[in-house]
Formats: sequence, structure tokens, C-alpha cells
Amino acid sequence: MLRIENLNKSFSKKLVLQIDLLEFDRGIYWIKGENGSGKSTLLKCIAGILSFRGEISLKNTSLKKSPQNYLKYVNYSDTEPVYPDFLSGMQLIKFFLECKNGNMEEVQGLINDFDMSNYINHQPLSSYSSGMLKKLSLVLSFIGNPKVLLLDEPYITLDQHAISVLNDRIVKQQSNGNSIILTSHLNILPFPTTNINLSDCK
Amino acid sequence: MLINIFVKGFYKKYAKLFFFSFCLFASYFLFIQIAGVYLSHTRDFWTLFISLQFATEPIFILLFGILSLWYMILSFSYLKKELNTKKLDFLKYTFFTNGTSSRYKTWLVIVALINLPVLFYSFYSFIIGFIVLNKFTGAYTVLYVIFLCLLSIVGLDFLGKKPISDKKFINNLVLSLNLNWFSTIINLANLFKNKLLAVIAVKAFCILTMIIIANYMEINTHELNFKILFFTALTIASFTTIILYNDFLFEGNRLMFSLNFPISKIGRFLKAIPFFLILMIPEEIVSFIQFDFIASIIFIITLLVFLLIIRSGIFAVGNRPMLILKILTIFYFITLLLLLYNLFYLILIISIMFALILFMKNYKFEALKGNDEN
Repeated sequence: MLRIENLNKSFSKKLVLQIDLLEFDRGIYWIKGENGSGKSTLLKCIAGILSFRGEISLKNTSLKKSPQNYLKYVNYSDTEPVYPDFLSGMQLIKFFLECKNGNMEEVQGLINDFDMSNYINHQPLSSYSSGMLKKLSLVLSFIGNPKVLLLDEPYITLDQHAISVLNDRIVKQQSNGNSIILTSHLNILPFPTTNINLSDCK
Repeated sequence: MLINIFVKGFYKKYAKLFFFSFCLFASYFLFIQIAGVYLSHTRDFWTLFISLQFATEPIFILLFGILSLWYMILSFSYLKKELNTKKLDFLKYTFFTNGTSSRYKTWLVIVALINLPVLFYSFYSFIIGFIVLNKFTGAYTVLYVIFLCLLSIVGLDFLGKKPISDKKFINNLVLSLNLNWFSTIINLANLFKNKLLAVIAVKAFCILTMIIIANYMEINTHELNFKILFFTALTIASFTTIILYNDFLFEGNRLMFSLNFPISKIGRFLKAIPFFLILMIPEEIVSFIQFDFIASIIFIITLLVFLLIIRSGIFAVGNRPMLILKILTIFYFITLLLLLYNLFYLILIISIMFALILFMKNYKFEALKGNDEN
């Protein structure tokens, strides 16, 4: 489904990521590697946030040649999400709904599950804690039924309840026939995953 | 005690600005004393020149009005910020329990002392204008400054009485916006919320430039003069670089997530046009007042093209303001050179091409992070 060929990414002339061929089918993929091995960089390249050399395509739709069609189906949640701090969570959600062509009902379910109802409408993001921002970032990443969901360290700063909600959602996403690619420094995840070690790819 | 806190605090915070302004004035008068003998008028004429202009010439009255508004906003923002600090929480149950007239008297002293430079200069210009030229026009400026002071007093007393809350007025305004209809509104909201002073200052300079070019350069504004229109657009676009740079920093830091949205590259490039059209509304209005309709349309199109290339240039250079300034200066003079040879279409075509190419290569903000691609 998702195919990466001859990917090269450098920062300041230093090669940080080199992948000859990597393919992702349906299922949950756990990207592993030491700090600085390029896990976040890989996810950002797949999400269209970083430029790269090589080719990334989803069902033969190239990210470089047709970003509009590719990015409809690929969503991303950052390790430490940053948003305009004067907006409210709901404004940002509405913005994502329009851009990612999602619907409010599915989002409302997520808001309720993550216990965000009491602040999502009114408080500006400047008053959010890191955990609240992380939850919002996860909610945003589920908008628009993505075929590929990229989650960079999704568990950090989350409370136990939110972690179990997230696990349920990831499993549900997999059962709908989609791909989830995540990174995590946890020792074990509560669902079966295909592990990919980036050190082996370099 | 309040005078100590607010007035001393304000002058201490902006000591550098006052010192700079003082040096500027001192240099001017020193220059007049030294070079006055070589000038066509007497030393006294040049000593009183600025004050007389501020008191009598409409364009200078407008300039003084804008500068004093900027100063008032600066002082008001400072006082409002101080009032919201934790250390002054006690004022809520001490000072603000006093009677209205007592509070207003205190605010009057504080606001008058903080705005003393503006008040003093407006009075001074008025008196000089009245004595030397027997004109009363300076009185309007005095009334305007007094009105702004009164507005500050009422505003400060109102805001100070309100319980501390995260929901400030502008936050509420921004939060009430429905962002569905236009993503560009986020960029505008950021500018007006976080960079209001810079926006006002840039707009003031742009409008003044347009008025000066249209009225003081002895050109017929009702004839199609491409050179003047292009020159005006180029100058306005160059001033607006300050806003574009701030917007670039905001997008690169806070809107990175939008790179994951399904938008084509050309769509991202063109997304800036409605943003520019809204941002430049004051200049567009002034252009319709100063030039005729066709000339205004040409001015707006040229301005858009220059803004696009400057924006793409900023994307390519990244977070290096001095380098941006150098490249902008080179761009400005090269364009002026081409203007001298009447190469208007060439300027437009090359600018659009470069804007597009530079944007396509750099739209992922990687220059902002100081990363070399690949």
C-alpha cells in the first residue's frame, strides 16, 4: 500500500536517513531505533512535512507528483505538537475537518472518549497542558478516515485513561483495514505489531 | 506609589527608545547650528521648521497623528500588561475600591506623565504655529492627543476593574471567528494579535509613502504612469517585508502541521493572494483615492507580484533577517534599474517566475530550521 524507494534525507549535509525499499501493508507497524536514528524524520517525510530525495507513494499515488491526492489519506500526529496558541481546540478541529474532509460526529466521539468536552470549545490553546495538546493532536490525526496514520511517540504525556482510549482507536483503525505506523520508547505495546528497526535500513 | 510603579517602569523599559529619539533631535539641532549658515533660510527658520510643519501642514499633521497613536498604543499596552501581572493583584481590592473620581484623577496623572513627550510636543507645535504663522490648525492635534489620553484613562480603568481572566478581549474576538471559511484568517489573526504595533507602523509608513509620492512628486496621478506605479508598489512591498517575515516565522513554527493537508504546491503558492489582498486593504483604499481606477488596479497587481517574490525570497533565505535585508536591497535597486529602462512586463514576468520557482523549492520551511535539503 505505502511504498518507500531510495529515500535519502540529510540535515546540513549529514545523512540521517537512507532507505532502499520499505513497504507497508495493512496493520500496525512499530518503527524502532536509537535516538537520532531518523524515526521522526521518516514519519515527517511520509507525512509530507519534510522534503526528501527518492520516492514515497500510496497505492501508486506519488507524494511528490500528486501531493493533493496522496495527503488526503495520510494523517500525522507530532511528538510535541505546536499550534497557533490563540485558537481554541474546537476551531482547530473545524479547520482540520474542512481541510481533511472529515465529519463532526466521529470527532465528537473522540472528544468524549478523551474527556475533552469541558475545555475544547472555550479555552485557547495557550492554556492547554502538554497532555491536553497531545490529546488534541491525536484527535486531529484521526480526522477524515486516514488510510495511513502516522503517530510519533503517541503515548508520551498521556494519562492512563487516554492511553487505553488510544489503544482501542488504533486497534479499530487496523480492523478497518488501514495502516498505522508509530514510534514509541515503550517496551511493549498491547497489540500485535510488525517491528521495523531503522538501524537495519540505513 | 502607582505613579512610581507605572511611570518610572515605563520610562525605564523604553529608556533606549527615548535616548535614541533625543539623540535624533539633538543631531538635527546641532546640524542646523553648524550648517544653518549654508542653507537658504535662517537658522531660526530651520529650528522651527519641524514644529511649524507639524502644526500647519496636513501631511505632517497626519504623520504626527499616526506617531502619537503608535506611542499611545505602546503606553496603553504597557499599562494593561502591568495591570494583569500577579504583583499588582492587590490593586483589585485596594485602588479599584476607591471612588470613580479619585481613580480617574490618579489615572489622569499617570497617563499624562507617561504621554508627556507627545502632549508637550503637540502644545509646543501649536504655540509655535500660532505665534509665527498665526494658524490654529495645531489645536486639532492637541485636541486629538488629549482625546487619546482620555480614551486611555477610561480603557485602563475599565480593564483594571475586570477580574483577571485568560479570556481577553482580542482572544474572545479571535475565538469567535469561524475559521471554516478561510484558513488565511489564522495568519491575519496572528498578526493582529501578536504583531499589532509592527502592522500599524508598517501601514503608517506605507500610506505616508503613497501620499508623498502622489502629492509631492509633481506627477499627474490621473495619467497612467507605469514608472510611478511600479516604484510605489516596490517601495510598499519592501516596507511590508517586516510583516511577511513575521508571518513566515509564525507559519514555520505554528502552522507546520498544514503541510500535511491535501493541497497542491501551486495551491499553497496561490493561498497567499487572498491574504495579501486583505492585508493590503489600507494601501488599496489609498491607491483608489490617490490614483484613478485603472492605475489603482495596475498598482495592486504589481504590489501582489512584488509581495509574492519577497515572500518566496524569505522562504528561501529562512530565519536570517540581515541576509533578507541585503537581498531585498539588491532586489530593490535592480528593479529600479529595470524601471529606468521601462521594462515593466519583464519585471512582472521575471518576478512571478522567480517567486514560483523559489516557493516550490522552499515551501516546507526547511530554511527556517537551518537545514539543508537532502
